[in-house]
Amino acid sequence: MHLTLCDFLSDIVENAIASDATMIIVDVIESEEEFRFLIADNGKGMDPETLSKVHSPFTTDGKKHHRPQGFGVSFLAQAADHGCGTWDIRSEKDLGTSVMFTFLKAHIDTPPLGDVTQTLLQLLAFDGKHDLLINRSRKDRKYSVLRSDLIKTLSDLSCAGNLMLAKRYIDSLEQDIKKT
Amino acid sequence: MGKLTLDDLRKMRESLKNEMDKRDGEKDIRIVVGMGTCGIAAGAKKTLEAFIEDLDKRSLKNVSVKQTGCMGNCNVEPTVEVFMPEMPATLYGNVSADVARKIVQKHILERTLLNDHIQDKPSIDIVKH
Repeated sequence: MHLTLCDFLSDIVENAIASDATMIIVDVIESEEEFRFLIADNGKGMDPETLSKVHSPFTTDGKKHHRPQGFGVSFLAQAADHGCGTWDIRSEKDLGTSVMFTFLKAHIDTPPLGDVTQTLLQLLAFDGKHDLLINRSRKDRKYSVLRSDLIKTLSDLSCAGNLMLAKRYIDSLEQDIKKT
Repeated sequence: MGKLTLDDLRKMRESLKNEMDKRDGEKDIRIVVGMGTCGIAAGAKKTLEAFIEDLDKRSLKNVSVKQTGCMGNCNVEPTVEVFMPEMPATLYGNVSADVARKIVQKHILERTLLNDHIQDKPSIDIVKH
């Protein structure tokens, strides 16, 4: 079971990357009342039948590991359905998928947000030919990071030294929007 | 620390580049962290962060740190594969942040395997069903 809201985010974005998307847009929005996450991709999408079973822990395309395997959405559904959150997933075959989830800050069952800097670094560093745009906002402050910009600046996002520089960069942006 | 711009980042990268070019051999070392649902649930993000920070701290800045989906060993997540010259490709299980730092010290620097954490791939007859 996932510990933090950021863990749900990582899980959903990994699905988007695995869907052969070329562009993924992730919004992490924090208001006074709630955390709101939006993940949209232009990947292969799902037909209505697969979509209707997506929250089951045993739904799979059967191409990997030859045994039942979920999409990770079941963890999100289980957490949100406690009353502290909402989730929605829309998908169209060959067009893409979008996932939205929200959690109320004041609700006792809402998991902690988790480490945003660490999570954004992990998402940006995930291998693939896709591009990834992250829009992060907290109340009236915000920043955006585009994966292709980061790769162009650092020339590569896989060696430890560059990943550490990227982490410092994201952390400085994250600290900036936390200032009151 | 103030808010950094992409230009600041470019400058930081350039000042690091000379140092990194001298250590070209490290490019052949690759660490792959399993980041599927199972990995994330078991704390693989902390493992990934520990590798990046520890390698950077020990000036092993050219070592690649990559991620992949579920590798099929969900029972021993977080799992990590290490590839490097003159060492067998090794799959480690139950790699917490502490074990990650041990892998850097023992496997990468001292070229010794961590016997307690070595995993085998699931055998074919188990995977089939």
